Amino acid sequence: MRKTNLLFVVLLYSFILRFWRLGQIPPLIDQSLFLARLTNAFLSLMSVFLLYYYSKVLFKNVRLALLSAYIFAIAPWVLEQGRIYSQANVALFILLAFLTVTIKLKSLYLKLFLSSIFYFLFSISYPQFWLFKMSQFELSLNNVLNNIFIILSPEFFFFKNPTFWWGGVRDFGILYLAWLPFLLVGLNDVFVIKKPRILLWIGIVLLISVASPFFPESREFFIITPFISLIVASGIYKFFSRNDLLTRVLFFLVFVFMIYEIIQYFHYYTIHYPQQILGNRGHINEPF
Amino acid sequence: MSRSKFIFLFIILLSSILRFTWLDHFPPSLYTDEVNQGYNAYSILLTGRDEHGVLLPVSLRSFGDWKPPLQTYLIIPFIYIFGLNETAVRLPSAILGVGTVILTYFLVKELLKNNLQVNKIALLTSFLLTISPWHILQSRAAMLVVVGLFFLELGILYFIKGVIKSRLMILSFLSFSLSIYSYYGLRVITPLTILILLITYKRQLTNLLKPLFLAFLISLILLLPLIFGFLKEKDVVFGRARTVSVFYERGVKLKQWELITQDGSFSSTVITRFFHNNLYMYGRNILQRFLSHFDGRYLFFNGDQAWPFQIPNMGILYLIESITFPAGLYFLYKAKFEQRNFIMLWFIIAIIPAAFTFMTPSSNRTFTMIVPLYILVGIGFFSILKIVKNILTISAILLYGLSFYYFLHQYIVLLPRYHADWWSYGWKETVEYTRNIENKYDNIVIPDINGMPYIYYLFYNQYDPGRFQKEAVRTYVADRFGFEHVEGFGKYLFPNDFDWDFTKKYNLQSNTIYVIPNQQAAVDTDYTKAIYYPDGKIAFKIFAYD
Repeated sequence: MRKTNLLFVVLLYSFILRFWRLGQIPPLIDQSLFLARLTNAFLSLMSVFLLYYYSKVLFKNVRLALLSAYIFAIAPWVLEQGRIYSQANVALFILLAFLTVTIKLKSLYLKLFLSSIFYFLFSISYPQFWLFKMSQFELSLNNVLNNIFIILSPEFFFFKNPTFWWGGVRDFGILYLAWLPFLLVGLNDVFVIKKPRILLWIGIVLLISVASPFFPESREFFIITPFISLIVASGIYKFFSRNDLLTRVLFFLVFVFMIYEIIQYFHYYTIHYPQQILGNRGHINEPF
Repeated sequence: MSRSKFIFLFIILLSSILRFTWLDHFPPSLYTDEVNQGYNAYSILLTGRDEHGVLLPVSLRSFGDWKPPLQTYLIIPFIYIFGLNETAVRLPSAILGVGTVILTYFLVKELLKNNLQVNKIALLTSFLLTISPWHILQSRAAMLVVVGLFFLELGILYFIKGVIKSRLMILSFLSFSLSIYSYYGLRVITPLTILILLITYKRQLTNLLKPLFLAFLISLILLLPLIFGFLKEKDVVFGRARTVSVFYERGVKLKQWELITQDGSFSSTVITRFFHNNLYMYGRNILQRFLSHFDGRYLFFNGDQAWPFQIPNMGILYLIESITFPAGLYFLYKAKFEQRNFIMLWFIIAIIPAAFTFMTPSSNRTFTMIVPLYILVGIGFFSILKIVKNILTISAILLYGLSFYYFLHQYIVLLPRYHADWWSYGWKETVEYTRNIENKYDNIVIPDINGMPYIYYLFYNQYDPGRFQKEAVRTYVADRFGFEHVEGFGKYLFPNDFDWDFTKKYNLQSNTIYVIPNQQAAVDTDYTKAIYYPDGKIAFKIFAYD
């Protein structure tokens, strides 16, 4: 299949995952907010495309870019945030748009100009971002360290996401467990091929997230999802490009588990998640 | 003497000082399991039988559990020399703890021998193990895992050396057999380690089939008593593993029931089974528990939350090792160290038994991972020191120094003063006091809570084991937590489910001493004597009624 067709398939798949029964899952408390949810889903879909473009330029590899976009499109946290009204999701779209526009730019002045526009758009789209909300900056080293360990824990990555306690998918982490080997291989790859840009963004988002006074119930870390997707995709690509039998068998087993886990997540998201959200109706006092 | 030898001797000396000094004071008291092993060693020394009257047991029945016996047997000569006391009970652990530091040096030299800097890495690794809070904590208490780790590591070292000098293979399998007599977890870890060694060295082993077979046969003979023990009593091999396993705990089952209930009319039985089957639910749970051992909060910040494996306000590793450990993982593969896969696989299998239990993360059950982990920390630290220069090198060393100082403060000052209860403090003082006045009374009543008080009375009174074997009143019926109780011996009574308020009002006996933990007698002021924790809080109140 041609690569443009594959991109179309990824986008179609993302479209279905974001728009299918958007008014019902998760339950919409106030019907007048459907438009906000629809806009958000559209921006999430656009983010998939932007990530494709960004990674294509970054890696200079279309297959890897397609894989990154696909991983991002189906990641549990991205899907969950893409189907509600989420400021973090809008901000992520703006960040990806900024990165995509600036990745090829050489002019420093133009970059600075675009950065100021980015800052403006980011601040109006994500007023809940804690740096915009706080007048005082309080930082306890103990809390920051503890938060770093929470955010980098296997539990947070693969088993439990507490960042949006009453409205989030709590029983899954931010990634599928099957992606663990790919994440490890991808991390090594990122170090080896020396893509400091990815690590830099991860570092910045990590530091901002762990310094949040609202942590762990804060969603700044959501902005890291495209970069993690790049790493996982890079891991899958690396895995797949090895020819020895053992790696192939391992890849096949993990791949089968991944398919099963994705189906598990969709089942959980469509059947169990709406029931759990209904129990928290009292907490929902903002667009959801 | 070469500089390297001098450093190695310094490491051994430091390691000995950190593990041998004031064994009777730090940790502040003997934990229940330590007392149990000490008294059983005493009992075997004097009568040839354990507290239950079993002649030379291959597995020790202990509070409803079965304990591997090696450590108890190792304690015997020390009790013979030093008497029944804290130091004698803890010495084998401390000695084998130092032994592990020494073995680690030689093992690293074997595992990384294609590297030019191997000697420096080996020295650094054994030094870091010497000052490791996790290793010091375990080595200074009579913990089964310390003995297990020593014999496992010895087995690995002899195996690798045995690839060249085949007669060492027998010593290797002898050590592996002893490790199986040391700790339950090793009954899984040791065979898996042997399997990995066989795969790792398969090419070299093709010429060694005869000595390998002989070594295997000898170890099988050594394990015969355990096999016969298993035929008589199933629990001998894995003890209470069943009751601490994830399959015994209700958490997964309850979650499964909740999800199936939520599925309700949405799906058929087949679909429900497809999504909420045991394999996926338990598999996910076990993986979650496995990966919990890599949680930074556990490793570097809060440590093990289970008593007595906790050091106040710190992790099982130093905070600076949150950098050197991942760096070690990276450089292990980047620098293509020989046997890197063996190191990683050993590291992983050391966690497997713990992942199947519901109390995770567990520093005790995963203790054998400490050696591969410190090899990684050593490689990481060494590689970082090679990259960074001058000021950063001094800063890194300073950071380690500060971390070590912080640990010593927490372990020597804070732990005994404010957390002595983690180590069942107060029983020694209680037994000594009651011993002095017990002649005037007919009965001494001690509620059977806070561990197993009977064993403290046996230990600190150096009660004649032969007499206890005859006098002990025990039903061998396990309570809901799986513990078996001793109801009394001599004039000592240990009632289970004892209610002090009720006894005080309706059932107070004359000529009787009552030893009541303070949480049951917090409001009482008419006590004869109070036993205090080092921080001044009351541990026990003793009431003597004529």
